[in-house]
Amino acid sequence: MLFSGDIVNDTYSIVEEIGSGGMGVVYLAYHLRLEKYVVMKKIKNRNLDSSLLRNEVDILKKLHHPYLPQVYDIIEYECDFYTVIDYIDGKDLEHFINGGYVFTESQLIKWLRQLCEVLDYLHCNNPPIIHTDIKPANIIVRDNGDICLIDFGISLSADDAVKGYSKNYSSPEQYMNVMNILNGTPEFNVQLDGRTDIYSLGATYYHLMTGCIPDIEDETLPLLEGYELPYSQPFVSIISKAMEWDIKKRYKSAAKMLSAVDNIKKQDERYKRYILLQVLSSVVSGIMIVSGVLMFVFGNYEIAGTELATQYDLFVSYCDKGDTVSAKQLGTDLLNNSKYRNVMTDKTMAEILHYMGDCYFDEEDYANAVENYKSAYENADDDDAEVYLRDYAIALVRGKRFSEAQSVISTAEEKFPNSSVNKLIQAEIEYENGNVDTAMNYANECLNAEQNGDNAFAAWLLKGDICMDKNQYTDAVSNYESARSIDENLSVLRKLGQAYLGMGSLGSDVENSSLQKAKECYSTIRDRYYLSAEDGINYSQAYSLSGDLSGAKNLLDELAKTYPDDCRVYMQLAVISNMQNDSQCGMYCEKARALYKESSDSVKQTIDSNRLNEIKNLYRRYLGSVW
Amino acid sequence: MLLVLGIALIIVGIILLAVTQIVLWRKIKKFNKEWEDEQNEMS
Repeated sequence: MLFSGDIVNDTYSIVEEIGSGGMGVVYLAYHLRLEKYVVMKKIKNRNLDSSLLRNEVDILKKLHHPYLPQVYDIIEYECDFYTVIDYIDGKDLEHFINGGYVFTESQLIKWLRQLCEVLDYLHCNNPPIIHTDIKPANIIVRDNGDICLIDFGISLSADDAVKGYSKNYSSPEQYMNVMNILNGTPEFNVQLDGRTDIYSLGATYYHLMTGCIPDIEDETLPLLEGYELPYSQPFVSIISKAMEWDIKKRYKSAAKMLSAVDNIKKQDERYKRYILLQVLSSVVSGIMIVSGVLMFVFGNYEIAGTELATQYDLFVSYCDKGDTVSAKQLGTDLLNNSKYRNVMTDKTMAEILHYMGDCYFDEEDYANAVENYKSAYENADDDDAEVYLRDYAIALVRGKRFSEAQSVISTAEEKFPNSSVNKLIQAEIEYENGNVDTAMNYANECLNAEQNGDNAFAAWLLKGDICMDKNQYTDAVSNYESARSIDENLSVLRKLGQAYLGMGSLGSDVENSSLQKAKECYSTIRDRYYLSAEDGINYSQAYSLSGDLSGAKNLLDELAKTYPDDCRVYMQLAVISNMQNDSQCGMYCEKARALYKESSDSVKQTIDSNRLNEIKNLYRRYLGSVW
Repeated sequence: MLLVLGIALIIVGIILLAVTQIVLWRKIKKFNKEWEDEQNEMS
C-alpha cells in the first residue's frame, strides 16, 4: 500500500489514491524527472511472470495516439508491479451520465469518430490489442472536448478475462467466455477480436443515448429503435448495428464503423432513396440507350439487306435481259460496296460473280469471265459448285487456256465423279481445238449421262453450235430446240433465231415457216428482253427474206433510233432501200461509211466481208465514189 | 422502322438520363443543406 508523499524508485512521488477496481489500486503520482502527473496502477495478480509482464508493457509503450494515454513503464516496488501511464485530466462519461447530461448528436458523433479511430489503431496493431473493457467510466472527456480511452488492460491469462469484464457493456461472446470460466469449462471459450470492442462501444453509446444500462442478462432490454430519441435514424442505426447480438452482423472492424459514421448522412432514408432513384434511372436510361444503339445497328443492317435485295433483283434483271453493260456496272458496285458486303452472304456473292462471269462470257471477254467464274466457284456452296466449276472450265477453254482447263477437269472428276460435267468440258476443249467430231461424241456422252439440267442444256447448245459451223441449219435448229425445251433464255433464242434464219435463207419449201419461226424468236427477244443491234438486223433480215421489205424497213427505222451510232443498222437500211429502189440508199450508205470509221474493232469483226463489199458497191453506185 | 425506333430510344434515353440526374442532383444538394441545418440545430 502506498501513501501520499511516498517516493517510489526515486522517480515517482505518490500524490493520492484515486481509485481501485478489478485490476488493482490506482494512484495519482508525480514524475519527478518529467515533472508531470502520471497514474500508477498496481497490478493485483502477484503471481504474474515478470518477463511476460514486461513484454506486454513494452508493446503498450510503443502505442502513440492522441486518444490514448501514453504508457511509460512498468516498475516493481515492494514485490508489487505498477504500470505508469499518462494522467488524463478530465471527466469520464459516467460522471456526465450520472449528472443527467443529455448529449447532442454532433457531440456523440464527434466522440464516436474518435473512439472508432483509436479502436482501429489498437486492433490494427501487431499483435492486435483488444481493449475488452470499453464503458463510460473508461472514456475521459478532456478539457479540449476530445476523448481519451483509458484502462486498456493487460490480459495475460483466462483469469484476466474475468477481470476485464464489465457485465453491462460486454459483448455476448465475452460474456459466454466468462460464464465458461466460472463454470469450469474454459475449453469452450472463443477467441475474442475487435468486434468485442465494437459491441462494448455500442453498449456504451446505448447508455449515453437512452440513460439506460444495457444489461446483457436483461432479456427485456428494448432495442434502441424502441426509444423516442432526439437523434437521427442513421445514427441510431449505426449504434444498433454495433450492438448486434450476432457477431457476423456487427461492423467487421472499427474502420468500417468509422466509415459509416463519416457517411452518416448517407444512411438517411431520404438520401438512400435519391441514390436508388439515380441508380435506377441510370440503369433504365442505359438500357434504353444500349437498346437504341443495337436497334440502330440492326436497322442499318436490315436496310442494307433490303437495299441489297432490291439492287440484286435489278442486277439479275439486267443479266436476264442481256444488258451486260448495266449488269457489270451494278455488279461491280454490289461487290465493292462495303455497305452491301457486310450483309451479303457467300452464296449471294458467288451468284453475283457467276452472273458477272456470264456477262463477260457473252461479250467473249474470256479473261474476265475466268476470273469471275473462279471467284464464284471459290465462294460457292455445294449446290452451285458443280455449275460454277463447269463454267470456269469452259471459260478457260474459250480463252485457249487448255492446260488450266485440264487441271479443272481433274478437280471436277475428284469432286463430282459421276457427273456429266467432265464430258461437257472435254467436248468444249475438243471443239476449241477444232476436233468437232470428237466434241460431238463427248457432247452425246454428256447427254447420255444427263437428259435435263444445266449440263444437258450446255451440251445441246454446243451441238447446235457445231452444226451451225457446218451450216447444218436443220440439225442446229433441232439441237437448239432441245436446249430450249430445258430452258428458254436469251442465249438459246438468239441461236435459234440465227438457225431459223439460216434455214430460211436456203430457199427451200419450208423457208416461210422457218422465217416465221425466226421472226417469232426475235419478237420474243424484243418483248421479253431487248433487241441488240445484231438481233434487230437479223429480225429485219427475216422480214426481207420473207418478202416484207416495208416491214423490214420499219423495223430498221426503229432500230436506228435505238442504235443511232451503229453502222450495221445503216448498212442493212442501205441494202433494204436498194431492194426497194429507194433513193435514200445513198444517204444510208454515207451514214454507214461515216459510222464504220468510228466503230470499234469488236463491231467491225461482226460485219461479214460479203456484206461489207455489198455496201461498198452500193456506195459507189449511189454516191459515185469509192468507200 | 428499327432504325427510327433505335434513334428515338437513344434520344429518349439520353434525355431521361439528363433530366433525372439533374433533378436528383438538385434534391441531393437540398438534402445536404437540410442535413447540415439539422446538425447545426442539434449542436
